[in-house]
Amino acid sequence: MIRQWFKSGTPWIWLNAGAVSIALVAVFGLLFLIMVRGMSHFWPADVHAFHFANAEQSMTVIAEEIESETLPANTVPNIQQTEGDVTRYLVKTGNRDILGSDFKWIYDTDLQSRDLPEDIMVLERIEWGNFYGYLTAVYENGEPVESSQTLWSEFEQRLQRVSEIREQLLHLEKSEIGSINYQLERLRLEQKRLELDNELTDSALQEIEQQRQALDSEYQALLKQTSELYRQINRDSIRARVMDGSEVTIAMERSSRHGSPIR
Amino acid sequence: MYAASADGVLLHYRIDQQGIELAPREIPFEQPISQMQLLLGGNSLLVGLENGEVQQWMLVRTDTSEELTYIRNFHEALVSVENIETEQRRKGFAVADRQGGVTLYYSTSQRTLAHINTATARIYEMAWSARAEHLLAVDENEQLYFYHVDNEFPEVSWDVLWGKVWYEGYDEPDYIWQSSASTNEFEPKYSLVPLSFGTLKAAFYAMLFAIPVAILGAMFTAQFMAPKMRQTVKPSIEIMEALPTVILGFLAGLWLAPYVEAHLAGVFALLLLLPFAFILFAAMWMLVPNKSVFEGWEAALLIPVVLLMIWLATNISSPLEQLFFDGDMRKYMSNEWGLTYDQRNSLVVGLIMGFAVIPTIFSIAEDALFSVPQHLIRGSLALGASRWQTMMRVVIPAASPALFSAVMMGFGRAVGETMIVLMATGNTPLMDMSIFQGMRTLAANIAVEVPEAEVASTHYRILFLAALILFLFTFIFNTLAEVIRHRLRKRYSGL
Repeated sequence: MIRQWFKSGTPWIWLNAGAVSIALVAVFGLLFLIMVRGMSHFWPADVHAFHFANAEQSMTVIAEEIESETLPANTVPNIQQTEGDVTRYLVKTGNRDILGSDFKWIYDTDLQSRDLPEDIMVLERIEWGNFYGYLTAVYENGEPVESSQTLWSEFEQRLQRVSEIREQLLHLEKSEIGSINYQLERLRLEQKRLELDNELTDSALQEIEQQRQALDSEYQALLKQTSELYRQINRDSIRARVMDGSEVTIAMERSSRHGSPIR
Repeated sequence: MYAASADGVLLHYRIDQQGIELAPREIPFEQPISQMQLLLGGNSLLVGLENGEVQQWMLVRTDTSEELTYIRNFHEALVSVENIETEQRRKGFAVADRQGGVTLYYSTSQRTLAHINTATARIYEMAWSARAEHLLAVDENEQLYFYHVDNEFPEVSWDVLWGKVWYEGYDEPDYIWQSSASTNEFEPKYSLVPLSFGTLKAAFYAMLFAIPVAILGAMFTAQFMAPKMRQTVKPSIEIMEALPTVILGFLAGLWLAPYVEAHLAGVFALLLLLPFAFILFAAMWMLVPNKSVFEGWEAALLIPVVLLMIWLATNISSPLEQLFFDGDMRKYMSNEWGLTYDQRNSLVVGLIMGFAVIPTIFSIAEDALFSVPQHLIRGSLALGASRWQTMMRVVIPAASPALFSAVMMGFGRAVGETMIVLMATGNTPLMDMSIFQGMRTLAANIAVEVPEAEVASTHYRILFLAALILFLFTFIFNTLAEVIRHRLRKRYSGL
């Protein structure tokens, strides 16, 4: 029967159909791959706590998992285990200012457990990349803040305030002071033009000088405003505990926004 | 240290930290030696003989030590060599003979560039200007000769481009492409053979993957697929053509190459098992009742099979390597079979570039197969032939001219493809048919080197020559395709 089936050519037709399936899987698989790889940047990843322990010490790594692979132990360098399989994870630990690098490989050889910590904070900062840790206190002008609200909402409120002030500062520096600078430059060119045309009379010069002084006093007022805003933006800071237990101070002015896995 | 004795014996003394070796190697010559000179870089020794011949000798590594070896000779002048003067920046040199003749040679290309004889007496001293544009010579009558030398591209000859050349520092003559290096004493190596070879190799592996998928796929789509499914399948496969090849190259280099490296056994298992999986599924499908509803939708039914097999191959890869290859297929291959594994290799290029040429072949082949006159197919079926017999005996012969040109178009596309090979091959100009080694193609070579090449230099011009050769390749394939297509069409025109 099998022979007859082969003689009828049906299996070859199916083989042809298989070629179409391969091509279709290739096309849509590729589009899917590009999409998944590209889009994943728009969703924040879960932050895991990996708990390690062996005879001598225990350790916790708080990080986002980027990828994992399982390999035969004898092909993996830097580990003691030589039998069976080892799974290694590429994790993003952030905290480049503390740890020296953002990413590291961890192996499941001493891994005891992993969980999703509830109160972890992911902070996107203006410098040094992401910060991962636990919020412990909010400070104003170096003094701990006593407040009726929870620590977290206090922090969020202040972060909101900081970002508002930052926007004001940006507006003052870019638009207002920028426009004064532009006008000053126009005045300088005007003076130069008159000078080249030999039309720079004393009265014209006086007029230009007058305008310049007016702009200057405007600028001084704005400068006062910005320095006040700078004082305000710099007063808030937080203390946070990182994964090895030590505490660090982070100026809120240096953090742009906090990440999501906070509940 | 080299010394020559009056009876034509070259003495080769070794000098190292321990001092001078007193027993020299002796190399006898048939003619008395009249001059010796080191070529630029100090790797080659030029030996001038009484009969006017100049021989180039080099230290070549043997199993135990280095042996002074004869490389090539230059024999344009016929009277005794009196003076050899090497150029300051290239591997060229001028030879003066007893009768006042001056001959210009170039060592790498073994070319005699010019022979002039304006002096009447023996020339005993010569000097080159820095760029080798001027040559100064003085003869026995204290007469000074000033030659203006117009000699721009001496390093190219037919043999340099297409033949094996024994370069300085190599054990044997070989085809080498290495156009530049960090030192001035460097000998440029301009063999186009490895590049042409790489181009054909990349195209070959791409076609190995693309032809079965595209042609078989086109056969099914045109003749067996349900019209409703065909409406979506054909544009879907053709959309692959719209994907910029730089994206494919990027994925090949950064995603597929590491994946294939990590799942090598799985990838081969997948390539081998897929056809069997299809036929097995077809056999099992016979047991399904009421299957005629799905006729024409076989390709859709097989998609889960493909996905399952890919998943399976990924997961059995590591156990397979444990079972047959001591846990690491790459190490096993290099130890047992002497095959070295390069992460950016022909397999990766074949898969991704095959992917890039599938739509070209598929589209033309499908159109041709679909437009085979219906009266032929119906006639064949009415006479009792099965659907498969009709396909093989009637449809394919009738469409064969177009199928052939589809394949040739795909080949032309693969030959000219740049970005995929540039990003996924490692760009190593090797002459090696191994599927686990990279290559450098003409197109990728032009892309890599044109921004670096000095304008109007030899290198720059050779890159343009490479472009011409690339054009010739595609031209030859397209012409061949066209000629054969015409023949076939004439044969089947009666249908």
